[in-house]
Amino acid sequence: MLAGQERAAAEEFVLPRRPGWLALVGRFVRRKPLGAFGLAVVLVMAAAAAGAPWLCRYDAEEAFRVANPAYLPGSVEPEERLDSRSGPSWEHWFGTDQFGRDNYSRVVWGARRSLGVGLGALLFAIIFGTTIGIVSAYFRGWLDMVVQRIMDSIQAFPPMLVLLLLVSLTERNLITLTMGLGFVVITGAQRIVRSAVLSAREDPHVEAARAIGCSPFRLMAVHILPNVAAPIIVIFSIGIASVILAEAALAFLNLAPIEPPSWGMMLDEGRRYMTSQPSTMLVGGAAITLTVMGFNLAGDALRDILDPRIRLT
Amino acid sequence: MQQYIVRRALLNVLVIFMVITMVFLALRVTPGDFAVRQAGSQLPGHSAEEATEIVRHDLGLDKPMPKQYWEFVSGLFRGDLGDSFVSKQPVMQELKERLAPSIELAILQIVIAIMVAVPIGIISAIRQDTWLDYILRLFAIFWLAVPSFFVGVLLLYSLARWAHWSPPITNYKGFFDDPLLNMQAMVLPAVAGGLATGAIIMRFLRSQMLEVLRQDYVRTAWSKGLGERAVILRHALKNALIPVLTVISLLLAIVASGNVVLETLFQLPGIGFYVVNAIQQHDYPVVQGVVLVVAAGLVFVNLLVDMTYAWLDPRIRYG
Amino acid sequence: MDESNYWQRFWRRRLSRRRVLRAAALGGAGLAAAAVVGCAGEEKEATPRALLSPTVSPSPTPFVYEPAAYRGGTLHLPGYEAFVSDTLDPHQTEFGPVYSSHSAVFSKVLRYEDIERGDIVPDLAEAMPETPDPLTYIIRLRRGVRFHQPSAVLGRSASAEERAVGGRELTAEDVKYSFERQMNEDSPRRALFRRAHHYQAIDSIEVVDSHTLKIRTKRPTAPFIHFLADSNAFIVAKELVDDSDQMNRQEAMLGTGPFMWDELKPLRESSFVRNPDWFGWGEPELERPYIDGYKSHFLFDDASVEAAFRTKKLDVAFQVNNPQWVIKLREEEPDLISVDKGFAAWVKVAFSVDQPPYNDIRLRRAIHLASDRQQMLEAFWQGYGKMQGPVGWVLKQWALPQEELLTKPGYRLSKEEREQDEQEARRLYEAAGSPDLKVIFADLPPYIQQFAPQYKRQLEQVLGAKVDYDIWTYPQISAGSARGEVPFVFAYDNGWMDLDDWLYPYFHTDGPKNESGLSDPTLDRMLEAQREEFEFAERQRLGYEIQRYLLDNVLVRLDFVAATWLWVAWPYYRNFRTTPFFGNSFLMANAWLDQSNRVWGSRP
Repeated sequence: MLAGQERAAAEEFVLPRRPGWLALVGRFVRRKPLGAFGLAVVLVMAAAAAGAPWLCRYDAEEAFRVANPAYLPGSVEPEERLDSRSGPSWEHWFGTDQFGRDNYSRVVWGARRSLGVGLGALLFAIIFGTTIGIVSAYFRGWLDMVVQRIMDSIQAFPPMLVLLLLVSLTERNLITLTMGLGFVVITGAQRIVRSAVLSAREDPHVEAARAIGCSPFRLMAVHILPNVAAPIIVIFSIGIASVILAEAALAFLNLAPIEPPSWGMMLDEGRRYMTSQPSTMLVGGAAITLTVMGFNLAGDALRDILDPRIRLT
Repeated sequence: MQQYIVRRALLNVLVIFMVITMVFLALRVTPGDFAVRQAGSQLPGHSAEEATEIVRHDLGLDKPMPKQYWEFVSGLFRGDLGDSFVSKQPVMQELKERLAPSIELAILQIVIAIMVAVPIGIISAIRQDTWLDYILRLFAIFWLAVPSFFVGVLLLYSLARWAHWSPPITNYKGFFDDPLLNMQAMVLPAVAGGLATGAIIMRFLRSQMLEVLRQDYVRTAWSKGLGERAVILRHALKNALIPVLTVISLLLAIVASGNVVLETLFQLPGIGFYVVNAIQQHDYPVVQGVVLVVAAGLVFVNLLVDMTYAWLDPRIRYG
Repeated sequence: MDESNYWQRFWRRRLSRRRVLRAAALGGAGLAAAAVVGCAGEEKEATPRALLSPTVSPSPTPFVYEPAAYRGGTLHLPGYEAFVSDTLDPHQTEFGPVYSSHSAVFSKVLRYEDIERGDIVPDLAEAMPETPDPLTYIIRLRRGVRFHQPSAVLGRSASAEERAVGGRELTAEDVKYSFERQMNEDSPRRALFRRAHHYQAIDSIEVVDSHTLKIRTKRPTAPFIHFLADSNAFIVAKELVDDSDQMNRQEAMLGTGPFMWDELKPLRESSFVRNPDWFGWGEPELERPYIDGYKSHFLFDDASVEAAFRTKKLDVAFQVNNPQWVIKLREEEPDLISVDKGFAAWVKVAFSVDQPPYNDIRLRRAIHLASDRQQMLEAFWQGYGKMQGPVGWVLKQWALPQEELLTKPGYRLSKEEREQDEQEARRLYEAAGSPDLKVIFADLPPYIQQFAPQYKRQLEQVLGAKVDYDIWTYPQISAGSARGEVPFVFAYDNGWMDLDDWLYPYFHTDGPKNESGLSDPTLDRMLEAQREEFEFAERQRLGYEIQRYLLDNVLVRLDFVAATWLWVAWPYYRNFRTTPFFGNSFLMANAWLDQSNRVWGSRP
């Protein structure tokens, strides 16, 4: 009898299966629709960036010509003119800019440039910023004071001025620009990390770990770092957004390298004739807006999921 | 605490000196200085070098570097930032005129940002994962993503075209001279820049609120039977604000110096445009002066923010 | 076309030195005459979409002024006068908008009444200079011309400079000083006088009496009258120049012109007030200027300019980048005064011929043929402009006629001709050894740097070349060219008003702007010949020959395109004049604001 009961009980008690990844995705979309949308945008942009050579219909710098309607044989009018500032059409999905270049191709190449610069700058910034922030906040005292003062002096430089000085002092170079942008984010990142660590440092589980004799390195890496993960993710999403915007602003002011095409430059070139043909400006602006939105939404959602405290409820 | 403030203040001064020195060196190390620009094209028989030397001598750029540095620093103590190479006017005077509009714009943008961000951030946090939350977050992220100069251009153009109104581009008056005119000049760039900043603040506030709302002491407050408003405002908000203040101080830096494009578009006589031009023209005294003033301001604002931390979070004590 | 022949003949006669006096008297009388109402500046040039009209438009008619019915009011204009690029010194600045400010404040011996017609009239002089022989000029100055005293009008205390100079009469000594200053080899700033080569044509200046000067030139110099009227030919007071030979202070901007400089707010605005004691070009009874003053606002964004103009915060406007809003506005408001005016500044390429590979003319010709000028016009200014030869197209009397220019290789428009040119370009490039190319682009105006990838692509495609480029600021380019690092530069350059200025300084072996290292004895002879030819028709012919020679044999400077500005002004701005270049702000002495106009009421 007991065996039968046991068997019946065993059949009723079924360990929950680990959900397949498709189910996980489905759950993510249902629970965090905004985040899913954001992630989708990010993936689209990343795909555009990676697959640019195949996704573009034409070369990004090619100038197109069309027949000139004002042409008369024997007159001094040219037969063809630049297909400049034309609206969306079958040949040019997003229209053309003032040089007759295809806006769609330029937007896709622009994705590669913006994402490349954004990711590069943020990686640079987070690696350095997190290390500095954690170390400084953990040890406090003299180290903290000195490091923070150095950080203050760097941060005291208004970021826009740093970028402007950098651009005017060095050659126009995408690598330099990326490092410069990353550099500007480091101080802010480390400050946020530091404030989070200052709070987390007093947490009971950290004190407990310290009490049992954890080495400082282990404490920082294993106990404090996860608590700081959420701010880091927020920094990443805010950071990449602001780096993309800053790069767009520099391109807008004609201070950034000209090739590959930049969304900010499309915005600047486009606004000069926005009253007659807004498509270039709108496309450049929409690309910036969507990408930045995507990163922020995705970052939000990830933060919500990863933060252990939230998962408990 | 007193000691801490004094120590910090002194260190701030040191920091500012470091900043100034870095700028001083960076400017002089670069090729193509102001003298070359003024030299331009010459007569046959006169080399480019000759003309450049003339101008460089006038500006005191041919003196040895340490001497230039010493003169600059001693000038600082007298409150003399030198004369602009281009306009020959004292930098201090030009700065004073130009600082007010930039600061005013930055403050207005932050005020608009806070006014927009705080209520939206709180609502979004306490109604997490509802449709209202989604809409508000999407709204916030949209404003954060749209470049502020884009918004500014669209606003300017549409108002001129359809409402036949444009801000007083051609005659700017300071706030104390003519508040009404001044506000008309400021409203568009303040809105264009403030919404973006507000979005950033709102998001950070929301995430901090969410963390705080899960804390034990908040649950205690709920269980004591306190109303929602009391819980949020008295217990949760104060703690959520701490990192948010960090972000605000960070943003102050970005906002105060990053308004270049908005200042240009709306013809606000501020330091953003002034300093961009000076950088491009290699007008050293102006660049040094602006960096000094802005750096000083920021560093002391940071100190203030740290003070406010301590007041808000009793666990943090500096000694 | 009879009319154009008449005007050509009339004008030719004018420049013949024996007729100069009589023509000036005629011209002066015409200006002062009461005029038929309402022909303020209508000069519609080619229709927008066409790159140029089939026939060159006839020489424009002289501007007819309306007598002023109202006084008062302040004009508001957009412009760059508030940007001090290099210096405030009127003889040392190279920046156009700044010498626009100077042209309102300082006077010259002679001035341009109409640049495109080449009308030069007396300013400080009583009449056009007497020329008893080709080397001598006798200038008689007006009496009673006094330096500014702004403190009285502006209610400020007088500056030291004003106390030194204000109210005193301008004499021949001042003229002599102003000219000699610019040719002074001993000055510490001698390398900075922009038009020094004009004054180096002078052999001696003799002050006959307090109001008479006798100038002798070293050689017969046909453009000398032009030099006296040119943009930097201001007469200044010696007391205002400091020990280092600079006049770079705001307080030193005291002249004898129709307006006094009130205030300069850098990068914001520059304001000028009426000079109540102005000598009035021989007609003081008119009490010009009619307006109280004018303000130039530093606006360089189409959105801002349009917004301000629509709400009448600006009385005048032109396109910054995009002409479409002006066209649309003209359609919406048919009462606006509309003028299309070509601009003399232009886009060009400069080579250094003392370095390989650019010392090979085949390579230069290849680049010349490969450059697509039509593409540039479309890209820079939406087609509003014209192709340019070695002399600016706005100077219709000197520039090679467009009909002829368009038959030259490199300027030809039809598809097959373009293909022929491009094939020839490739052939020449390969004959020159297919070298790698590096182009330096200037960073301003922005459309030049934005064009860089396009130009690179164009050269790569047509020539099959490997092209690299970089973007430098103008100071960097100056520094680099001194070190021989910029043999191939793509940039923007100032406009000039006379045939000589377009050619001699750049192409003569001793020319002050000859940075390319060119030295061609045939060309030198031709340039000197044109400089000494007083007979207009002959000088024009020589000018054409030089231009043809440059296009066929020299190609050290490739000339591409120059823009057309579309001006609009509210109809209450009477006697509104536009000019093809900076430095003519004194023409606002004739402007007046019609307060009876129906749109005046909505002006803020």
